Amino acid sequence: MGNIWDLIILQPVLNILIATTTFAYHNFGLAILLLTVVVRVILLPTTFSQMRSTKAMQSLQPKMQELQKKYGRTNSQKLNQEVMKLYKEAGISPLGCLWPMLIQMPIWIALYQSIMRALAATPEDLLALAQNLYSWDIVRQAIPLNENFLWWNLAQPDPYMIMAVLVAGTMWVQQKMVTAPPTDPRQAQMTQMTTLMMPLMFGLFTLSFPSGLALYWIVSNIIGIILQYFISGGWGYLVPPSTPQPPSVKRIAAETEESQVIKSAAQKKKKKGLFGK
Amino acid sequence: MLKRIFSKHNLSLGIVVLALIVAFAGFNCGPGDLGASGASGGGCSGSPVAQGWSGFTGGDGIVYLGTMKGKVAAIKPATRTSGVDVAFPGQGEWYYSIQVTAPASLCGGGGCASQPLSSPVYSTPQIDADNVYVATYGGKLYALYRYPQSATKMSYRWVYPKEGDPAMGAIVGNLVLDNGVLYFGSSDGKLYAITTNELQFKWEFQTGGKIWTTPVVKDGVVYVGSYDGSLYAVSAKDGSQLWSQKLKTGMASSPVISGDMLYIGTFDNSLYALSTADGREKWRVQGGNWFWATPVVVDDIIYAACLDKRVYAFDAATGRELWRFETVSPVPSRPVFVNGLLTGVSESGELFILDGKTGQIKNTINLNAAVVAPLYAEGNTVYVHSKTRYAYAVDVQTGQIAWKLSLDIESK
Repeated sequence: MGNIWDLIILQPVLNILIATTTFAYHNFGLAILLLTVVVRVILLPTTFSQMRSTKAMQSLQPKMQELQKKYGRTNSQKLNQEVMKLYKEAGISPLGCLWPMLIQMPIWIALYQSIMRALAATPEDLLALAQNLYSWDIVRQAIPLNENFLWWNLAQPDPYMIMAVLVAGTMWVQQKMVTAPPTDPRQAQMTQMTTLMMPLMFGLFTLSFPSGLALYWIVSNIIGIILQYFISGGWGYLVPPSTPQPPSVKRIAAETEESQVIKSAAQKKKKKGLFGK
Repeated sequence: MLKRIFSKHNLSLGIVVLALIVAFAGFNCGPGDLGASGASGGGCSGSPVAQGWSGFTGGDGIVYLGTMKGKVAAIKPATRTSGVDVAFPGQGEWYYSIQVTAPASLCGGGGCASQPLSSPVYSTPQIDADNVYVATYGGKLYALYRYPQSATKMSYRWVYPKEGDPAMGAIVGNLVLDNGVLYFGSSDGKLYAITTNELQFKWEFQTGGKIWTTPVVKDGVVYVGSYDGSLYAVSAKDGSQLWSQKLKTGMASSPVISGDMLYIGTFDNSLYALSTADGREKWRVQGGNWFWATPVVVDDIIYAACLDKRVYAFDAATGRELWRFETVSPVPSRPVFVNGLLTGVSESGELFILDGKTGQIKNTINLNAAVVAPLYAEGNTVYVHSKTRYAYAVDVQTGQIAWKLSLDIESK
């Protein structure tokens, strides 16, 4: 299994990454940056699909909460049926935001593993790298890679912790932009925990992972933020509305937006199939 | 079920799943894992794991090596015979645990500096009349008593840099001892010359990249290859540069000299023959992968093990291929030449004994253990240090394993 993964996914990504280094003035940091952008662009259709599904799902939250209040404690089977019915009516597949992620995941993991392998931080890694390189001159002549990028050694953890702060910060912003504050206090607490815990976890990972990997996380997060900004037309849930609206107005606005999103999702599904492509 | 989960917490759960996969895909956990920094306290670390692959050296009936657990072991082959399990250390044997304190900068801000650490050893130890010298991945050079009073409770004689001073970069290549001076390269890009007399600094020479290979010294000149793609010739006297030759890529192997020619493998799969006078290229041959192991030169024939699963024999003067031997896996270990026989081992542990003139196979032994460390020969015995942390002694005449010893030495 490992060999198949290496052969079909890892080795192509690794060799393209190393070849990109040659084009990027033999600067591996620049190559990570370029390839992350390119991969993000290639995966844009799945990203859009995922964002649309997420937004549509979020727009159903008020109705979901109503259903939970109605059936939650007493009749979970009925709740499931009603939830599924709600999805069906809205034309949303509950797995709609899972599939794009599953498609993207092997590419991201391969890119992540490629960065680790290409850096060959230890002698063992360097020896292992030889078995994963194509015989292309552009690849062979790029080895060993230049590990220095700005003031970082990409093969070593960042001793100044700047990368850790950037990883955690960009990840928090990205998550905050897309995470709707739930009205249920218990769920709100959990969402808040998740939004805070993940960036903290990745920030901690960054303290012990090579900086090259942290660079990839930061670039990936920044691209995610930019995409989110332009797709949802602003900072989303990161910035709360500046002028408080009366509850009735808020509710009407939410319902109008909600109905539009549901309607558009249903139309797209009819036209373009399961993933809205 | 899945639908329910994703309908409730679709985004946050997705991120958690993604994070966990990413984390597990590259997280290395385990006691005693040693990070790329050169030293670590073990446990979980995101840094890649360095383990070490020191070869053997020997003299006076004792062989010395650095273990993958940061120890230097002195083994007396005479006390070990096939089928008899003699506890280590036996009579006349000893070991020394190298303990280092890593600077905070090497711990990625994680605060491992206060922990007692061990450092892997890639560099084969060197010996003189009274001392065993060992360089560590943690960037320290130690001089140990070759004949200590106690087999287990040892202290080092000297260390460079001194305790409390910043370490050098990680040391991967071997030490070269010439006229009372130790020469070696380091990951900080420097070639060091340190005298054996109390390990005093003599000079250093800065290159543009890491030096993970072993220098070679001949006629007062030190030759060393760097990650920056240049081969340097430096005066052994004062460390001044005599000449440098820029090659297409960095050096994959350590250089070896025969006559007025220097042979070295590079990352573009080439094996170069260069003039020792000025570094000019005499000839170049291409393999299917890196010539990682240092070539062996005997009687005007270069024996070059390659990661393309072959061992080649080339005419030293012209580079003409004389023969090639196909192996079952890449050959990162440096072979040895004993009584007309070339002995090598592939990474998967297939030890092969070839006729040096024809390349015909004489014998094979399957060690069933991965091997990366260079081989060492004394008389008819070839010593192998496996990645499974065993030392093997193989009789090349009989093709039998004379003895093997676990190097998982428990500190006492």
